Amino acid sequence: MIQRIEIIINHGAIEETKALILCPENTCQINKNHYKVTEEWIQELLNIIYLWKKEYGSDSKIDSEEFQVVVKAEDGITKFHGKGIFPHNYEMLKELLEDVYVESA
Amino acid sequence: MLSQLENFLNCRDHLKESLPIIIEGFVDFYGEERREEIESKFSKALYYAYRSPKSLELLLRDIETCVSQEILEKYQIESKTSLSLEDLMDRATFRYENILPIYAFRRFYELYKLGPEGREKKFREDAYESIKSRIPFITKEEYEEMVETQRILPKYEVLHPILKDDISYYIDMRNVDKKYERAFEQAQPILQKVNPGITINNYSYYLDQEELQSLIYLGEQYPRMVEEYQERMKKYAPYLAEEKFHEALEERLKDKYLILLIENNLDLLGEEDIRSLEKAKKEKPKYLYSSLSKNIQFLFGYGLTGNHPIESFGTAAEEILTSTGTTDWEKKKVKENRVKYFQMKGLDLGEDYAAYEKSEEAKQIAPTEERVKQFQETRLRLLNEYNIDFYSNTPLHQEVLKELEEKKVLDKDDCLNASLYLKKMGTETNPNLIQAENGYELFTIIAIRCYRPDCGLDHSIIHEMNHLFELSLKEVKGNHYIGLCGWDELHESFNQDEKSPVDTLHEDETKRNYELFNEIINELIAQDIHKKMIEKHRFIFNTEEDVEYKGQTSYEHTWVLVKFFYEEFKKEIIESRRNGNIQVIWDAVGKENFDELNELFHIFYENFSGYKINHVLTSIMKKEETEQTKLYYDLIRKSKQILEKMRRHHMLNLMKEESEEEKTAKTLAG
Repeated sequence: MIQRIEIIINHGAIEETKALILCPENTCQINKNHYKVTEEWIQELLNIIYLWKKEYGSDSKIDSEEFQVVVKAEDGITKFHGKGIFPHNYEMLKELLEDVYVESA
Repeated sequence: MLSQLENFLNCRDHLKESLPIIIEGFVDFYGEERREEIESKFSKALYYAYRSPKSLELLLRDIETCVSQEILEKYQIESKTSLSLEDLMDRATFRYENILPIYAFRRFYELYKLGPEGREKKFREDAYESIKSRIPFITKEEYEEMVETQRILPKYEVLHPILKDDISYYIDMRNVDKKYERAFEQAQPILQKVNPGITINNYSYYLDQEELQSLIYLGEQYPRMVEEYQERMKKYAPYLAEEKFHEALEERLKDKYLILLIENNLDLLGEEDIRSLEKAKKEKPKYLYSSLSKNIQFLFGYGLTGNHPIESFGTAAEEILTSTGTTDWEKKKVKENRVKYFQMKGLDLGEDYAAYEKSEEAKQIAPTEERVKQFQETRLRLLNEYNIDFYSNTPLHQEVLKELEEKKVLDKDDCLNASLYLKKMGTETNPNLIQAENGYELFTIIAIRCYRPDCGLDHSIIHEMNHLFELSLKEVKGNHYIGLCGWDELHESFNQDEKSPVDTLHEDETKRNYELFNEIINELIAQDIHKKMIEKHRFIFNTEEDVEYKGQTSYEHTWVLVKFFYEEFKKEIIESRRNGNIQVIWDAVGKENFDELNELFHIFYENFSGYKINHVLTSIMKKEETEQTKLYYDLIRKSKQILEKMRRHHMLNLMKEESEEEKTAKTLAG
């Protein structure tokens, strides 16, 4: 069973998006904001990332966007990472994060 | 704030109009004696400050918020309400005028004023109009008869169930009160800010309260606010039209490429699916995706970037299933998608994947690894074509291409193609060539991505402009040329025939020898230039409040390696970075020492780029000793040792020069 999903997107040197999804509680915190999410939303997130490579590598550019997704489950931890190099459906992950239902948790 | 947003909207012109102050900034730093050179180099460039379709969308939303807030603030003051803008607007804008809390209050108050009889009268009038808009031949008498009898007339029993449901709603007078109650519920959040004790039943007792009177005033002024908003937004009509153009282009191309993806994979479909595709292509429905068969929707998702169940049979998916290192949820996802695929293909053995593993029929149906790879290659090829199609046809891009054509640059592979919009940085300086009277001349294209006002844009511009200043042409041979940019040597070929195929999915990763070292020094010089500009209140896109000249790039992580080198040898560094004068710095510090310092940057980026620098800095803060912290400190220590060697070299040089001067003086005297 998945316990939590951590997503960090580093937009160059300064800006960072940090998302923490607590699966049993169906809540999501993105930076300072709290949201409720549905089971379907979580499954959609998992559907986006499940075939990702664990490491997409880092390009040589210093300010490239970098992502890290960590899925912590009872039977282990799965990490996905890339800097400047992204999975083909990476934008779908970012769109999904924008798509959370806004409600104070 | 609004004028800043407007500058971003009009970024192309705004950057060009800002060139004089940028020139002054560079003259302040490099000296008046460099003015002519600065002006000359800056004149031989095309400046493309651009915003992507997505950032245009965000800018327009910000402008709508600003305009809405300005208007509401004016009325807020007039009304003397103590409610905040947030209370009145709740992050909405007049773009959707019916969702602001103040509108919800107005709606409730209008119904309140009517009283019970008035509300029923209005309900009947609105209901009749609404039914008539769909059943034009219905008369008022017929409607009233249905209200009295609470029955749908026999002649209307044959109508579609949805229309009959609507009639049932509109003849039921209990809905008058329900509508009033709903209006109160929607107004309740703002009413409770006035007084938490207000209910639908006791509302009239609070009418005399000052705060409620202020709210009533605002509700009454609401139509004027909307009018004012619409009037002010006319100014931005061209940009709103550009946004609509992007939306229409995106919709059209998404449909086009979804069809292409399907057509390239017809072997995955049954006859009925192919018929639904042909029908959709012929009829061109407004919503293509939902007009296609369920199987097509399942297999192809929403198109090129979606999830494709066929990929759950690929190599990556197989590795997930067979590897001991993968977790349950990953294996479960692969199996889920495979089961759905089999079921879509007509083989339903339940939800347990184990049943399909043993099935011969499943083995026949499962796509081969070869087939999955072919699907993925097609998808990527089409994605590249979509990107080229979309970004090349935006109005902004078309404008800059026209401008570029007038410049007659020689290398057709300039940077102004669709890949620019998809690069992760998208801000860059690209040398090109033009034919001049005396041969070839450098002509540079500066692309500046204008994202949002808080993006430290001014500093990015100064950084790129310094690259432009440091650019020079070393030589041209055949269709190759060598450009110099600071200490960096650029070996380029120029393609005069036609543009090479554009790859929007990958970026060139090759690193030149001095590239990293060069970028860091360029950044430090840009910081010095920009700092002076800020002191003199010279701003381009940023304002005094949000401008930053430091902390805008992660180049600064390597400042620890060069800070003393830069400060001590600044004069020689600056002199050596123009027009192929790298010998100046080599003479000053020794080429061997220079190259040794350069090498440290390669080691630094191999080990500390991206997140790794955060990890090592965190360890340092916690006073932990790790292999990484040891390496970090080792690099700093080595940079100090190299600096010592540079100082010794410099001293020896000075002594040699003094001795040479003495000899010369003696010779002249003798």
